[in-house]
Amino acid sequence: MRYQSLLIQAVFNQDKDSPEKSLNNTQQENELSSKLITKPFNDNSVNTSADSSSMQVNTQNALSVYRNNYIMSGIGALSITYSTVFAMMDEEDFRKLSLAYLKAYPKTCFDWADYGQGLSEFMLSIDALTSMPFLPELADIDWRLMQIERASSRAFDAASFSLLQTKPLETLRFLPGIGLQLTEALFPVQELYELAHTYEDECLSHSAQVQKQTSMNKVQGLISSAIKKPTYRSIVLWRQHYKGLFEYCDEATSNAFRSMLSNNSVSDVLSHFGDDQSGMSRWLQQSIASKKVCAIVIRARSL
Amino acid sequence: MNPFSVTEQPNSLVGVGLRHPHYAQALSDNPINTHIDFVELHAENFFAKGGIALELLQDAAQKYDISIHGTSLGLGSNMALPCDTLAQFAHVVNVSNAKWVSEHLCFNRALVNGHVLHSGDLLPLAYNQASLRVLATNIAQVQDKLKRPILIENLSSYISVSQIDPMQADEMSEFAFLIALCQQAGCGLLLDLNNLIVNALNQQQTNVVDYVYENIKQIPAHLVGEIHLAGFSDNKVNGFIVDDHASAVSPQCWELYTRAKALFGNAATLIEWDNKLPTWEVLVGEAQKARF
Repeated sequence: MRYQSLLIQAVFNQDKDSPEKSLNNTQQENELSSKLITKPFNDNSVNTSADSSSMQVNTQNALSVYRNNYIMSGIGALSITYSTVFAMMDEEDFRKLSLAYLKAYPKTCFDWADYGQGLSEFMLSIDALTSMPFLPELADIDWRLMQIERASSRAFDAASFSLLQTKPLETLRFLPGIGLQLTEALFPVQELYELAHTYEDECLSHSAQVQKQTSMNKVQGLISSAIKKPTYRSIVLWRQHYKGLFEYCDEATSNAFRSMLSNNSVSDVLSHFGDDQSGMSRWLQQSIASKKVCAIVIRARSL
Repeated sequence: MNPFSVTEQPNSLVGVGLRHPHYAQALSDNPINTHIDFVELHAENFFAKGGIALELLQDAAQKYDISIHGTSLGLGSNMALPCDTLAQFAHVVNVSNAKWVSEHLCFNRALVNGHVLHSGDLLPLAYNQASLRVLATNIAQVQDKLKRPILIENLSSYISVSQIDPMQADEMSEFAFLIALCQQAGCGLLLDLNNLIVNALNQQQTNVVDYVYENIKQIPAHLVGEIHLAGFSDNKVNGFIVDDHASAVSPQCWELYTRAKALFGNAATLIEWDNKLPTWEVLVGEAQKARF
């Protein structure tokens, strides 16, 4: 069933200039070209050259329909997964970026929601995006949030927190909230995310427009600062109810979450706050209230 | 008796495709929702391991009978389905307690230079014995997993395989192929009338409704478990009418449906409208037109 490879290759339209060149095989490409461009019906002597030519055009037009469907579906899928990037970019530029990515990384997964994992890294290689250096970090946040929102659910066990009063902390560990993870960013991704999603309505009131301009000025200042004095900030991401969320966190907090994600004991996790009892207490309350922690469990004995 | 029908009533069940913008209204107490017998959901929209999608699936299943429609399995692909994808599909079917399960007569994956690429679209098959064997094997894989028969939907296509590879000429008609497939695989048919009309129009058939009707008359009534009705946009793409599911059911489709009902009386009927969605009320109104 060689035609299946030929047809899919034709739909992906992998040409020599495309970045996915490594996926191409010159021999197969030539074979396809000969099928499509030379003489689909030459074996049949009754076909005139005009008929052949017409059929070739028809074939190319038909392949274009499939190619167009693939591209439109891909752009649509990427605009959903990367909703913040989509909101921050000019729509035509986003289409061009998506098209370049679709050519570079043909779809291999079944579900479009699983497509696009490497867009953040890919953006770093696009010269035209250097004027918006924060976009790859936003793309990374978008991808993580999407995965978190699709992650397996886990029940919040409020009663389990009473173990903190009844058992030695060395024998307990935190069960992280759904999708809990850490990353870091150089640019003000939280402010950019809010800017992208707070003012999505095209018909903003005057006061909303003023607020938007104020936010934009603030964000531009933060971006300039990040470029002048690069400092990475820790970010924690997780799911609360159905929504993927993220926020900046300080060093003690990020170390505590990192320790939690390593399945360390509650006492190890809390030790990152040192003598700051009120800070530790505040972190614990907020982590429970926001579902960054969903239960306390008794640690398995190590052998 | 039709083994793929869930009713033996003379009036078939009528449903609509339920898409994201309509979730809230479809799950509300709006009285018009009682006009809907079932909703069709695309399986892939619920492939997530958790989160709001699965909750919505459960909510929809509590309110309506469910038809789960796969769009990505590509059962004509010359390779087995990955176990994890099949497990995701089966999970959606089981969670929703689906009354109908369907996929398409197509392929979408092939090995290209060592990589299995997925077209993201429904690509046509050659109507020959080799395709029959592959389809029957892959359908059996799905049916074994689900422990139930599925329905296979006829395709709208813009190219014949012989245009790509002249060595792959069709050995039988589309309808003979569909009937043979049902016999070999033990599956049923989801007869998409709009796809047949779109194909006939793209083939420049003169009397489209008569032409399609003469063809579907060949299909034994007991094989058809579900019928899709849809429209198509007037704007051609590269000279082709595209099955874009972006319009109200076309007049040709209604005319053909009237005649098809006499052939496949108790098959469930679904209004398929996926793009440029109308209001929920308009969509439900389309479904009401299918009751006669």
